[in-house]
Amino acid sequence: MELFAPRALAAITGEMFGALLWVAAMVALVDLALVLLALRRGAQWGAAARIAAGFGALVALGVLVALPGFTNAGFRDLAGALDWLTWAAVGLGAGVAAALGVLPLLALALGRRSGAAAPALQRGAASSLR
Amino acid sequence: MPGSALSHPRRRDLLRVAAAAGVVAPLAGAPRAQALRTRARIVIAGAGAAGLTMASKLSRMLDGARITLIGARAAHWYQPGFTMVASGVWPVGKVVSETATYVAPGVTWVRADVAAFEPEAKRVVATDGSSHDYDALVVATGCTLEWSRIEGMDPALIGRDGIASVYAGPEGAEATWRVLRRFMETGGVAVHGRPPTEMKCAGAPLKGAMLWDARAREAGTRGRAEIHYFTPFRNLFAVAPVHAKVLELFSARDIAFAYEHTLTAIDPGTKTATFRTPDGPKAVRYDYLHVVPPMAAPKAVRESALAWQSGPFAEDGWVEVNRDTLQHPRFPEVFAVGDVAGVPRGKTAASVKTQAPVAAANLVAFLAGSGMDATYNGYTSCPLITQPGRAMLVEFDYEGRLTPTFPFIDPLTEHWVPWVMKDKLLGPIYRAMLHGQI
Repeated sequence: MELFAPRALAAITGEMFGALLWVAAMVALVDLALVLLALRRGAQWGAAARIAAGFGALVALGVLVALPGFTNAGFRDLAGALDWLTWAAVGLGAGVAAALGVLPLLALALGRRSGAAAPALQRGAASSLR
Repeated sequence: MPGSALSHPRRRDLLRVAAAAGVVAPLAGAPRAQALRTRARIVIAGAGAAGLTMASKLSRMLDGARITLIGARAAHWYQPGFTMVASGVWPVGKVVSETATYVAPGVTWVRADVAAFEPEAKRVVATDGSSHDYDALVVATGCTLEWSRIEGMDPALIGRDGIASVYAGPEGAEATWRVLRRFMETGGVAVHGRPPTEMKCAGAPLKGAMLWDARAREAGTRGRAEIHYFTPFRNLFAVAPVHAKVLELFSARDIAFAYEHTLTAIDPGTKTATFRTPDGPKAVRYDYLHVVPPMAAPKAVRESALAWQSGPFAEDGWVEVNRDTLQHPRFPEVFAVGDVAGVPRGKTAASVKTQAPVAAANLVAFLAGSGMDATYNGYTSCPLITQPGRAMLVEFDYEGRLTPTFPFIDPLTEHWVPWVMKDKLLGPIYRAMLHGQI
């Protein structure tokens, strides 16, 4: 159906979010750049992921609580699997997005893995061996 | 092919357009329609949802055409949102925007209404005195609300003395909420119904009755109120399974109904509504009356040769079109879209969304002198709100078959998801439609 064509979906998404869509795209790009930077610096992903997951869970919880009200409805209006699955999927999606959003920031903030050397130091160490 | 001003597409033009489409195809997932190079004069009568959508679509599908849009109203009304305003869910500002926002670049907008159609001369005369010759015409004037067919009714009464109508523009929708809110405090007899004519959004009066019930329950005043629904027909909804579901809902909510009742008069002084019934006139006292006026094609259409000359659509002057191609059978350069089209059922924004691509494709095919292969199956949709927070996404075609867009949503079960679509999603879809993007 034409409504589900990528062009139509893009147009509808654009109409729904307007300028926010571009802001979100910018944030995603910045986030991607931070991921690359964190990878380059050998960041502590494990600890960052745990904190990000906690943050994502909090966001998901907040979204799940607020979602019916945001749609001018209440929890009593959710009826059947379709509604509850949609409600859960939106909360999960928001939580995952939030976790992914803060993950590179946290990774950078928490510093390098123990034992991992910074690229500059690695280069310096390599030259001293010659 | 009529119209000496027309030029046929040349191969290199089509290739140029195809190449341009190729640039966006990877993003779009499908190639854009190839633009037809032409100097044709296209007049679109009406600058509402149907007219704006057609202008946007044709401006994308035609290269070099002179497209003139005729419509006086500077404000654009998102009519599918009127029930949301009338039930206190949305502020009125959410359903009003500027027509200019949606007029496609390159389209000439004449800010006047159509005074007369002269199809034999291929000319439209506007109320500002200007006349516009055309090679192809799209009639998209919408319909008129025939308040005067109800004796004693005046739209100025809406918002006073218990009289409401969601059909009377954004102000009418807002006034309806004011009357409803007041009535919820007092209780009494609420009267809803529909007219005997074709009408836009036939589900709206049903929604009105059910929303009123829900709001009264919320306010704790339902016990002090009676709700009645009157219809001129022998069903509550023309599509059988939807009728059966509405019967079930009305029964569960203690909403009384009566068939073969046509509102003919009101007396605001005594708060009495008079209905024509098989047993003669019947007077019903009301405290809250939701008036849905009879609807007809605008006078300029009715009085022109474009209207149906016989059959069920002739009395109210709807434009005669082939229901599949939306092309006029006697004036092949004329197409009709939206409320004014004389086809069964198709008087919703969802109808426009489905009709416009068909009419635009067939109009382009007509200009190109090729065969028309786009067909409209009568698709229309009604997010039938049953209470604030829940709705049923009812979609059907000419034959009354349910045609759900989303197979995982049962069209006859109340859910929150269709409500979310009504509240959050259909507006963006509608705007994308006006911009000719879907």
